[in-house]
Amino acid sequence: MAQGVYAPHSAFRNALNFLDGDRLLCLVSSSVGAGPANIVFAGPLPAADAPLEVSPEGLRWGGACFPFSGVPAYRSSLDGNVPRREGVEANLGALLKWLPANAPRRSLSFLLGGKPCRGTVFDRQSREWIGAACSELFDNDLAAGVRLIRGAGPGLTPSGDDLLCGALAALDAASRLSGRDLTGRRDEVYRNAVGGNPFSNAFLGFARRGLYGERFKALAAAILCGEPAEVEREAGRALLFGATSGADWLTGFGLAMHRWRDLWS
Amino acid sequence: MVIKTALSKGRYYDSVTLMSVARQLSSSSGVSDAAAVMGTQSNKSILKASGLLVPLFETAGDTDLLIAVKAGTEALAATALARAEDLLKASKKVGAGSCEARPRSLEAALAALPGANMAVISVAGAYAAGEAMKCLEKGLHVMLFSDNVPLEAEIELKRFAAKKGLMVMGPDCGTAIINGAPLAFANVVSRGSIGIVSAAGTGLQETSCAVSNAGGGISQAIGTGGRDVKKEVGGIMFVEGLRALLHDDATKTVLLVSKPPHESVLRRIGAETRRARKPVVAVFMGADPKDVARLGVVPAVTLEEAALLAVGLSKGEKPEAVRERLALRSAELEKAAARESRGFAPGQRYLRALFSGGTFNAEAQVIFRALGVKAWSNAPVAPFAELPDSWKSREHSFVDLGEDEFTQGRPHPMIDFSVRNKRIVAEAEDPGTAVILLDVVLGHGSNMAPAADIVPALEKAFAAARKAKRRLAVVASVTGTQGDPQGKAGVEAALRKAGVLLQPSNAAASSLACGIVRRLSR
Amino acid sequence: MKDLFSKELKVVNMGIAGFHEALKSSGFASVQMDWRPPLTLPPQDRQVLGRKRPLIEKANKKAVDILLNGKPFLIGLEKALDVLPGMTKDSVFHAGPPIEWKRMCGPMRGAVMGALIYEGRAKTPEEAEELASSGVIKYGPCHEHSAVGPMAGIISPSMPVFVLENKESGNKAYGTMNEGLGKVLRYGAYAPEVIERLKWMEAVLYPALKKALAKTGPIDLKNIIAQALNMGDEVHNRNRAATSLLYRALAPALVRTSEPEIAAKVLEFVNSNDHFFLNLSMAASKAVLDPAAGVKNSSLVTVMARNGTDFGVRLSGTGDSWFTGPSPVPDALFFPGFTKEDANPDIGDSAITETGGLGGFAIAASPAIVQFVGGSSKDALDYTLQMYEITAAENGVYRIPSLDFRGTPTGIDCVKVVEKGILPFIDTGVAHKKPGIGQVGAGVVSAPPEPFEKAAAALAAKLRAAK
Repeated sequence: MAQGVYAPHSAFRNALNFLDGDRLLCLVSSSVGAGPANIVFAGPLPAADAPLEVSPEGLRWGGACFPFSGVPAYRSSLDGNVPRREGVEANLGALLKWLPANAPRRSLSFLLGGKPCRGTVFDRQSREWIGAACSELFDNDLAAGVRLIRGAGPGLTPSGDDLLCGALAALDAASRLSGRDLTGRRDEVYRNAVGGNPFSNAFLGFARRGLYGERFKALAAAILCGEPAEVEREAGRALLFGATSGADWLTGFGLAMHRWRDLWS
Repeated sequence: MVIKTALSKGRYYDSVTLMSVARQLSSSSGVSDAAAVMGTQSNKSILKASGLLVPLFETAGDTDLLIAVKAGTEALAATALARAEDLLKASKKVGAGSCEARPRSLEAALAALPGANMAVISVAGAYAAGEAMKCLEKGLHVMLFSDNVPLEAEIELKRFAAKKGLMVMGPDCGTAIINGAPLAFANVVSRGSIGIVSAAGTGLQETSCAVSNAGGGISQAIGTGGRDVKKEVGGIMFVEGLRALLHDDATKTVLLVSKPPHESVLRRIGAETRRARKPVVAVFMGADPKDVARLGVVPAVTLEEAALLAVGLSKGEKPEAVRERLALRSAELEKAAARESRGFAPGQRYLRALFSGGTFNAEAQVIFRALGVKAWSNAPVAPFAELPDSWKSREHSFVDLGEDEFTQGRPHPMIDFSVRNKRIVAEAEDPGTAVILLDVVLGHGSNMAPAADIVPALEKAFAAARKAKRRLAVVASVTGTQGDPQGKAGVEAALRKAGVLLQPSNAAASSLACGIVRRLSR
Repeated sequence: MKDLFSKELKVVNMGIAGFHEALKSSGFASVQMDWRPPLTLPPQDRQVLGRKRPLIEKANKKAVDILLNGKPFLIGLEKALDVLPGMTKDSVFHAGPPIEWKRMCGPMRGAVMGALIYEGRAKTPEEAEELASSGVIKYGPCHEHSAVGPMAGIISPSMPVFVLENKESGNKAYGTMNEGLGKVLRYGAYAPEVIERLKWMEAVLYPALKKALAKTGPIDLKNIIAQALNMGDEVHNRNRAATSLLYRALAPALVRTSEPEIAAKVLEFVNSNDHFFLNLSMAASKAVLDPAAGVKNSSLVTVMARNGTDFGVRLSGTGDSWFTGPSPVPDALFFPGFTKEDANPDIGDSAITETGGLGGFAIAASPAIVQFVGGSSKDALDYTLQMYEITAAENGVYRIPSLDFRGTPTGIDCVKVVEKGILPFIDTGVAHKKPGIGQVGAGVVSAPPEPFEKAAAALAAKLRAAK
């Protein structure tokens, strides 16, 4: 966690967000869980708007100190999970089958064959837009596709951004499976995906570096070295993230693993 | 079609909030299209393709929130937009402290509200009497919602209050309407010239609603708690309340509601009513109308009849005219009963009444009594027998789910439907059940979404009967008014749609239910 | 009953809040009470206290005036053995009411063991534990020796203490120096680095501060506290402003009287510990409360203190008796990784600040603290406003900006506590129940009812006997 003084940015029901420049730090309740930018609070979140100071020893906030000593630190990367290549195909298959049947109907899971809700004109237009953008991304021009997808759809981090985070995570998983250096492609996705939304940018940044939130890490680990049943269980937990963010991330991850099969199989 | 839009800069809302705003918008009446999204380039393009892009949005950036609504009229669009903004505002309030002072002591409360004249007390019974006495000492009238107040304490409080010219409603007084103010579980009724004194909580709700729904209005509705009319308390507050209404210029007709009072109390009531210069209607649930008439009052057998008599009298009608109308309605109900009694399987014979209001349980039994058939109840009216196990019906059963055995550690069944919902399904699965009789009570304090809570249970019940190739009749009435927070008409429509034989009162519902099972027992 | 129907209905609602909401939404005047059960007291005691109310009021006025007029000054530093009344070589003083070794909680035991190692009486924790339980060591409450200590509150003979004088009454009060955050003796830690820090405080910090104080002359603590309240402190859980003010008062003298490197180290130590002033705000409260003890018939609370097992109270009018009950586990915001399961029952003499009209009673001056435990600044105002209901006076010097500079509620009246069922509100830090782990949370706690019930009953007995 980078040292510095983080200014209060926004307050949500389960998260207080702080920014130092473009670095994001979130105090979250335990229902959100650990993540690369998250500090998990045991109790109810306080309603404070004081700046948050991070030093090597601990946090200083609103006149109080929280020493880091004794606090378990969360590891955001997949290091330590040894991929079991022979199981991946079945695991991915389980995800691609499970997700369209279980994801919220407003999510991007229609890209995997899920039945979307009719929704408003705007909802239908969004689906058309993202569908076309995905074809562009996977079949034609990667950079152009990413630029079309980014920022598309509902949510604070628009659905398109969540999808791109999932795709970046898939690239991390792919390079762990094949041992190939995919930095170039990860950078290309990232470069074209970032925009003016600090939340999206932070999540995209973490995803490029192979850093995951708790639930997504568990899902990715299940794909790489688990069993189909585990994949379904972890996907179920990941779906609970945000409104459709979890489903959109999973869609991006599953779709990219599937379409970029040549990178890892 | 009109498009209305809003742009919110520099304020952040989490995705769950944004999603619920979008859902709220698109489900608002008259709205044909809506979006609530961040102002990214992609989203602006999608808005454009949807015909929702307005010039205001062109300059928006990735962190601005865009809201657009397309609706039939300007007003509909504006309403939807305002609701969206309320939702966004509410999401920011979570976790904020309350914004009014909460005094800890009575002194502080009186300082915060100078001129306070009524205390509504619903603290634990062990403390309620002490707090009530403090309030009486400060000159406040008291409504004691709390139960488990010792009898001696009730007597002491009421004697003290009577001496000081103060009112003690309760203990165990669930409802009252004073100067138009709904206290505790009260309904939103029209104001008018009919004053009620009631020793039965649901009885007060049913009569006040029936008065209001029949075009009458309530001046005051005083609850006394059920124990007031027993020998020990001697009807202190029932008589005080009656006197107050007889002296009140705004009250033209008085309506008395109770289970049969002790004879000493009846004498005291009679002493007032015989001198009264206003018409007095009385329903003493289960008492012989002839005995009641000797008090110089107009007797009624059911709550509904009492309410309609009071309204009729206040409009200068004769009691006979009102009773005639009710007799016509009874004939209609008989016809309906004949119609509805067809199609049951051979073993289906029994009535299972599941009430959330205790007075309704008594009223239904009084009506059932006329059949001369044995029945069981956890709160039996003579000559019926006590159910050995309240949780299990046998033959014809009348169950008051507001009794202690059901409410230990749970909210009252008027608030929490879960116990009764399970019971409804269980009764439907019993091959002996033909008719389920229910009450649904609206008003302040009651379940805020009664239809949504009970309909799934009814659907399950009907499905269970269908699966066993049986017919099931569910008869119910809704106590409430259109002004209640839940809105009577909507609740009734939902129940009707679910297949309930809906009646305008508990008396009518009970008559219909009894009519059906009477024919089945032949 | 004629007036009921002719007047506008205005309702006091006690209990179910929905009834209040319904009235409000229908446009009727209603006030919702935050009702709590009253404390239990035998009816005859309640009666005596009611009848003798004027006598009690008069006595309380006398006692609270002593409290309000007190003038606490920091006049110097000494070794505990040299100045603390009743201190012997075998003494160890502790926080809260009297307690023997076998009933002491984990953090207090750890602190006693640490103190014995620090004193050179034991070499290992095992030796220390054996000595501590042998009967050789004489334990006593700090409060009975004009002293106070935070958390475990351990004072052993060679520890340096601040010396305070109440210039109004001439009495003295004493308190240890605050060690800082992390692994510290007051939370029951006795690791080598803890002892090392204590040794440094004795060898370097103590002489430097002593010399500096000799240069500055007595420091007016009442003045510092009054200013700090205007700067966001309530001088119990937040001492940032007061520590800064003290730092400003001491810095020039320190630089003039000590080697530059020593002065720098001392100033760094004070600067790095926002709670450095806490031990002084406690001793200052002790200095002004002690002379208010011993006023006949007074129900004024002169001590509230916890030893991690019991919560103890003393009244002005009931002599030296302690009235105790089990200490509650605070309702706290726990640091990540800890839960209420880890928490020790409330501990420390620091509730002396609340007894003197500071801390939780002045929390409206320090909204940052309430925010921190999950409340709003409105909650802070409400907490303080509630405390006016159980206090005998308003402070003339300690004032709260957000209440239009109203004086803090000062001088707890035990009879009001019992009658209204409103319990004193205390800011607190939470110790881990195992020694040596340290602070696991911070929060607020209401004093338990039992000590106040017992104290009121004892006062009633005295009043009855006097007749």
